[in-house]
Amino acid sequence: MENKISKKIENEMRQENGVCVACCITLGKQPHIGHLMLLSIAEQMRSGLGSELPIVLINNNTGPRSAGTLLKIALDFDLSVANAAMAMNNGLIEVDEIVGAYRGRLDSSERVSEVEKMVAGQALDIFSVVSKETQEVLRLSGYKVEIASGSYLLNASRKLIDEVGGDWKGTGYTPLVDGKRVVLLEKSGDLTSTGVLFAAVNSLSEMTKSGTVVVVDSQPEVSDANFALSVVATKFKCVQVMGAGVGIGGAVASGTGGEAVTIKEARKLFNEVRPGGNLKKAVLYFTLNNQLSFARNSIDLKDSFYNFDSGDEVMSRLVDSWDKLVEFNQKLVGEVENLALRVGSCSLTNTDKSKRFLEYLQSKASGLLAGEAERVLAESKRVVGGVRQNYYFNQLKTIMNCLDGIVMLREDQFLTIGKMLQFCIDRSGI
Amino acid sequence: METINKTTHLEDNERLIELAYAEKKGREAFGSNPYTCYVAINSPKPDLSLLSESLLSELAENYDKAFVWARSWDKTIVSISPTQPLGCFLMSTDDIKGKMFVPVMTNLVADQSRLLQGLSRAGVGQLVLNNQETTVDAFMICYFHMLNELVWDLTLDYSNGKDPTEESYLLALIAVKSGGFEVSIASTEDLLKISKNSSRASLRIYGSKINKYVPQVMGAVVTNK
Repeated sequence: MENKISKKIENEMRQENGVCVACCITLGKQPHIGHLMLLSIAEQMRSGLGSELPIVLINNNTGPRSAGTLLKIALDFDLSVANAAMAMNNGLIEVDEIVGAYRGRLDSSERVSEVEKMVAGQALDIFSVVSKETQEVLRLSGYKVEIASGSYLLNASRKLIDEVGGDWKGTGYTPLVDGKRVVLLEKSGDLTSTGVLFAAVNSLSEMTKSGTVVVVDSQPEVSDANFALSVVATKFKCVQVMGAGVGIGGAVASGTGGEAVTIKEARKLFNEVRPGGNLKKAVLYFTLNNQLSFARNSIDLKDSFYNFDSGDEVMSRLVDSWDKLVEFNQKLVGEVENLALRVGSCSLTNTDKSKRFLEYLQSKASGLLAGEAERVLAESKRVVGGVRQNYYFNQLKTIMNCLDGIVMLREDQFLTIGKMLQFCIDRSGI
Repeated sequence: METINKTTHLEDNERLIELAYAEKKGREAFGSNPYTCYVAINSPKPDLSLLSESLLSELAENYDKAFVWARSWDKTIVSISPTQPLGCFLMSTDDIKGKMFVPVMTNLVADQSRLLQGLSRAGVGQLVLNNQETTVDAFMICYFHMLNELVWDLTLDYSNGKDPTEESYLLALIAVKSGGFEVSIASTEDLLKISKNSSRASLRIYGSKINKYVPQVMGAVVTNK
């Protein structure tokens, strides 16, 4: 019992150390507009949970696709696999060459294990050059993102997988069994994608000293890794939030197929039309207001995406989203200025909604301003009218709806409302 | 001359393997198995004696289904389960509960003699397993297929030349369960020799190739009846 209590206290202390929001992308090719939607959900989480850390984008550079790309580069440049890996790690191979090799990667099923062990064992980043370019593009687009090499994160926690193996240690098979579920971290001597993520999230928690790691990704491996971490990790918790993507004409789009423009291209196109605009905020506002489409016969958020008729429509709607955000901000400023004119000696309202709002203002404000992490996470799972919900954006709209019915309010009430509005704007990420 | 002899010898062995593969002994030639037997283990050092007992009991308790399962080549999955620590469970292949059994896939060479420690030394027949280096899960696949082969061979004996029936299958299960059996290991070469030299011996070939560490010739059984 005592042990459980001390663990609980330890967890609470760790949670004060902050939240780390992460998502995973394979940077064998330049990320596209679908990844921007994913990053927007991550940004919603980062803002909503009040994280001061940048979003950590885990660069998936281990596994079969990476191995296939490495083998293709070795073939194209007539290098040994080890030398090709080193050249890629050191940024000596151009982005276009990497992307070409990724698209034409070799079916490496026979050598995946060998290549994966080399890349992960030496913590090499074979996609370093794409990673560097992506970091810069995202920075210029307004994102606070840190790209972390998956092989580095894996290498840092690889021993943990051996340690949790129990009787199975050394057999090349690492199951985690607990009550109702079995999760495999390793089979036939190769780490599973769950095992790779398990190690990466553990490393992230240790490196950032975060009490909570939120992984924005719809893949089932995330749920399995969360479960595995919940069995072995006592110092932090891991939470899965479903990701997002784009579809063109009802089918999920990819950068490989060329349907989805790259973030680099999107930024260029956006800046041509709205030179003073902020692409990050345009995409984020888009995800706050637009309806999702779902894969056939599903209403599950994990099967959702933002659908467009064409690639051109994506850009025009993001530009439109930016214009609407500017309009929304102007409206908000106007309402606050208007409210300032109604500051007086007492409070007076002409609707029940506004009356209740002022009556419970202090208690509502203290809860809201303290940060409501559980509500942020819970609301992110909800879809209402096809739109993915955001706790603070909903609170913002609710407060704005109550302002009209206020005839007069005291100065302290005005200041509290101002604080609440500012807090909701910050936590919505807009 | 020596080369010709070697080639002939290899051809003979290949022919034996082909014959063993083609020999269905009253079992289905095609189609999937409507049942699956999950062998749940909880460590890489499972107690084969206990598991054998569990298998024979499970099959005897459900002998009608087990007969169909055995006639369709006894699909067996060595697995771990969050709810079943150790034992054998025969289920419909479509049963959703089967998803709770996760296949074991190791890559460490198993200590075969240690795995066989404590097993009986005599009985109604002999299982001779291939001693080729392999993993614990692959070795167990061989072991259980050979044990089922012994039961099937006895089923044929009890059928007296007629088509095997559920009843003759049950009689065979009871005989193996009560009489016990002997287990040993031998090289592929010796397994083929056993098959060549005894009319009461049969080889079992691994056809599915799902587990890459299972030897092509899993073993031989010889009935003592």
